[in-house]
Amino acid sequence: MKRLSLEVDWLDAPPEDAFGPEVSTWARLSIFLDDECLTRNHASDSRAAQEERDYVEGPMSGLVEWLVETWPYVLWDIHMPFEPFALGLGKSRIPSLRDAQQGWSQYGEHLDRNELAIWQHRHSFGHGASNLALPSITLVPDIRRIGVVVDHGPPGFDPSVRFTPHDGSKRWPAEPVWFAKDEAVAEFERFVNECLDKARSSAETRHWADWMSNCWRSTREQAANTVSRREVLYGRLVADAWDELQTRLGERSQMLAGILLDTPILKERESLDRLVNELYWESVRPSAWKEIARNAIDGALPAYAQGYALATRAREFLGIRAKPFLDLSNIFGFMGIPLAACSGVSGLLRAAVTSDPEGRARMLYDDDFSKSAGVLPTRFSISAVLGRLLAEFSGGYLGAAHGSASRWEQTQRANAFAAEFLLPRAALDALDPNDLDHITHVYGISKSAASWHVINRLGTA
Amino acid sequence: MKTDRLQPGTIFMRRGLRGAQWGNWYGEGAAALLHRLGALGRLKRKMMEGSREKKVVRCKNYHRPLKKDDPGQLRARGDVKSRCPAWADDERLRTLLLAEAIVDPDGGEDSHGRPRRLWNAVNDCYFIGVSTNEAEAAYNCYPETPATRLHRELAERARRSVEDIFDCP
Repeated sequence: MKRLSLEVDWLDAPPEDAFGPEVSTWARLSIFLDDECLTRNHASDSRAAQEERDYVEGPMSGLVEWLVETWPYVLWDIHMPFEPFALGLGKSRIPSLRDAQQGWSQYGEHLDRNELAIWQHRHSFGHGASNLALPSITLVPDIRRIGVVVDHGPPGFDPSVRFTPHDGSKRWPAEPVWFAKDEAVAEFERFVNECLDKARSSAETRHWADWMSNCWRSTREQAANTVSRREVLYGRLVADAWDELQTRLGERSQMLAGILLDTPILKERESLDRLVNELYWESVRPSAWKEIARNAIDGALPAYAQGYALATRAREFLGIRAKPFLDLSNIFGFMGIPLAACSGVSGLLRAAVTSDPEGRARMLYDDDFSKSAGVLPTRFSISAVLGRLLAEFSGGYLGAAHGSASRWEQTQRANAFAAEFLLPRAALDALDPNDLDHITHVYGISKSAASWHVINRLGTA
Repeated sequence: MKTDRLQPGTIFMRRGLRGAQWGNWYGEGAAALLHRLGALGRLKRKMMEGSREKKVVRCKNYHRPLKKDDPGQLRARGDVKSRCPAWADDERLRTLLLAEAIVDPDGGEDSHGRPRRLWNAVNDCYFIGVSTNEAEAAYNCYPETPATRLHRELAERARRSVEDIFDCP
């Protein structure tokens, strides 16, 4: 069964309300994500559930134009111009069109509104191209997966229909649903091709269909081209310097590529050089950590559950189960991972890890962040990148970072790992969950992280 | 020139018009840059021409607000994300708003080489005009979320009242 499906049922267009390519692309559209019908709705002037239906009716041409325009970004624009985990461990903050309509008021004033606006357009299905009623569907890409976040549409628009979450217990905005990018690509491509074929079948709209087919071919070539893809992935500075970096770093450039996916888009060469300098290291230390990473965790689990499982396994390996530990460097020493401080990377990352195919790894943390935020948030960040290493090492070069711009799914898993690694569930039973001062003091975890972990693990504040 | 004006999305559409004959415009050094700047200049000229061209509003029935004296209607053909406020049901206002609309710099072009997306705002309401790709320069206009790099300018325009639009020389 397909996890994402766009089902189209062609209709004759109402002559008074369809223009240009809308005339031949009028249809009923149902969008399904797993078992949930995202397009289930009822008329705005009706509250009766029995009048619900699973489709919206209107022109498909605008959706095609949006997909063609934004295709490389839908697939490869991984960087988000906001902090998805700024509220702590438990809340994601992927903005919907509802947030955009309110001027992203829940987001920090320091964020660049232009970048937010452009990001929102490129990731909100149909925005600025189609007036077909849809819930806010935000598409969030990663390298091999794509996340879908659904929310109600903006208030005050007087839409002709109201959408309802399929399962009454679910509320929008929903957490992202992640699935294989290849699957999403295949389904969107099928949808666009079907619409273009339909438009081509009518003499009236053949001109548009032929033109749009050229645009479609061009944008797909662009998305498939490694050089142009690099610019979307890392920004122009890195894309322009890539050949030089690859010559300098050889295969270690893969470490840099991983780290750059977890930092904001770099705009200064100096920042890039600082990161590159941290990739030159020699280590012959034993790599005990590979024992923990050897058995893959169940990928079907949600990311946070994977993090918990991995942390439990790490604690068992270290023989500390529910015990608190004071000195993180002892732990890393036992695992064979050198830990180093670095400076001049503030705002890019709080901690990072690199490893080579032999399993030699090195971890670093931002000394400036450590001095300004304190020991406990730094312990959390370092633990989080340990989680990244244990979860993502697959025998090749690896680079990953933890910070305000690190990737969504990986960060959710790493946050869960860090929280469980520092404050295991087994220990919570013996503690008073309301006594956060005591928990913080004994387990060396910050109050905010401890309080979210207690909520997430025990379900109580 | 600010480099962020060279938005790939804009260029895609031109490339599409030309059958993607440019090849990879990212990695070809100075020649590619000149090509891109030339393309930007041509696009800007086109936008200016486009903005002077007489444009028509395609106001769809289902965008029109319901009024007190409407007889009521069964579910209309077409489900829309937004409907215009009642005060926008004025042909002169719609024409004025479209005439002074701003071209979205990231919107690219329609199948006839005209700006594909226009924006305007008045009375706290943000409107988009999306080209209908007809031979005539026609735009389907409706309220839309201003997720565009024009949002600051649009916020300024949204402070205007309808009277301000009519009073404008």
